Amino acid sequence: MSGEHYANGGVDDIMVVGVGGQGVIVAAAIIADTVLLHGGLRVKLSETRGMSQRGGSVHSHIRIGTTVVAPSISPGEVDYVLAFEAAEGLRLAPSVVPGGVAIVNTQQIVPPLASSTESSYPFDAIDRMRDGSLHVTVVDGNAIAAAVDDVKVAGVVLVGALSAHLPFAAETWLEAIARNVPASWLQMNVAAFAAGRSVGSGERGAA
Amino acid sequence: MDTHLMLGNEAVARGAWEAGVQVAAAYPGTPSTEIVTDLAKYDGVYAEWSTNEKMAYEVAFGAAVGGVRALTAMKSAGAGVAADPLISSVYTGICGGLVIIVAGDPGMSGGMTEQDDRYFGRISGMPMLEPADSQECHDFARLAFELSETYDLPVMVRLSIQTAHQKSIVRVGERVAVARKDAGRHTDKYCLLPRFSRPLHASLLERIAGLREYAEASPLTRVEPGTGAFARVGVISSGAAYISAKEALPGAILKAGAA
Repeated sequence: MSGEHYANGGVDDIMVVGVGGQGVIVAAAIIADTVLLHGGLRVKLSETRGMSQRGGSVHSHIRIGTTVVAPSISPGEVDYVLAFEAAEGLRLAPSVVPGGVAIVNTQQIVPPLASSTESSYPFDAIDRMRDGSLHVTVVDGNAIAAAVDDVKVAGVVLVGALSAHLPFAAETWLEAIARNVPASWLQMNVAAFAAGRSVGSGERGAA
Repeated sequence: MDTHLMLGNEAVARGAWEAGVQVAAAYPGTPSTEIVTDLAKYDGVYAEWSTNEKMAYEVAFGAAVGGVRALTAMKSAGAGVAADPLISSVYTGICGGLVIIVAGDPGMSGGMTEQDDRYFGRISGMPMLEPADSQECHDFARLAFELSETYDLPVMVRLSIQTAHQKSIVRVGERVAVARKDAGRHTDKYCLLPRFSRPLHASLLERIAGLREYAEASPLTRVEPGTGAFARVGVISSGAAYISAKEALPGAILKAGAA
């Protein structure tokens, strides 16, 4: 979306979803700080992370615009979903507007209960997301992060992929990253962001 | 202007710290946990995890009876655990300000029940403030200490996960220096035997009447006019529901900040 989109009263509704420990909360903080550093816009967030420390899902809502009232996004109105985990992406798919953007990590984290109860893990999550009306970008965040430095920065690879869709300068993103990661890890996060951003830009060009 | 993007819980901690809180005790529980973990990072605050919510309540109440400002925070189920001292302390009142945060979880993203914690206010007679966003979390936490000392009773700040775990911009202030008050020795105030309790209940009803007048005249209660086709629709709301109503329709809203 362009900056004009916001000037005309548009609000971007972004959901970052994953599993406890993947870095969803930090990714949301980076996105929010980018908006604040950019200036002139409001940003509100809402987090659901109750069972995250027990491997439960973590969902972070981010709303960006010149005027934002509620901190959480109404079902069906998500513009972008950034999924750190494939099944969490599929869980969110029905909440995305038709034609919305989904950026999905290939990582699959099978919860222990999925093999012992009536529920089963959707190993075909990404294919099922592609069946809908969404523009799906699949990112092998862990492999890209490992190639850059360490699998731990996979979250910032995904943030980089999302950044290609939003009207904020790369330098602003990097400043926001510096605010949210330890100084000794900054270099590898910067490299991870760049790798993710180029994946996002490439897919966007192709779409 | 000193502004920060803050979780509702972080904003409560900041507001309490600015109000001069010196003791914070809690038992962790979603969505209230971050309040005391955050307060522990500030200078000049003794913070602890207690054995359970009742113990936490009594640690904070003891500190307040001793003359300093104190806070305890809990999830819905914790208010049930702490119910005995919670209700008794409204009769006795305090010396230093005492603020209780109860955070509910409608939607049950991590909680055990969807309960309406406002009934704890109704059962006990404890006044309750209901912030809607992070700025109000900060402002109401700060105000709650003033009200607690003015009306001589604990004050509840009721959150839901929608306010506790949202992040929005907060304009922060500075910490005020609050000296420890002389606790004195008041058997008739703190000993809930019937012959003391009866006059304390009468006094509580007077304190509640005073608070009601305060709440209706204060900026805590406000009416926002509606616009356009919805100008004739009116919504009465408080807390997180106010935000949802405002998002959903441009009707008039009576926003109640206190109950």
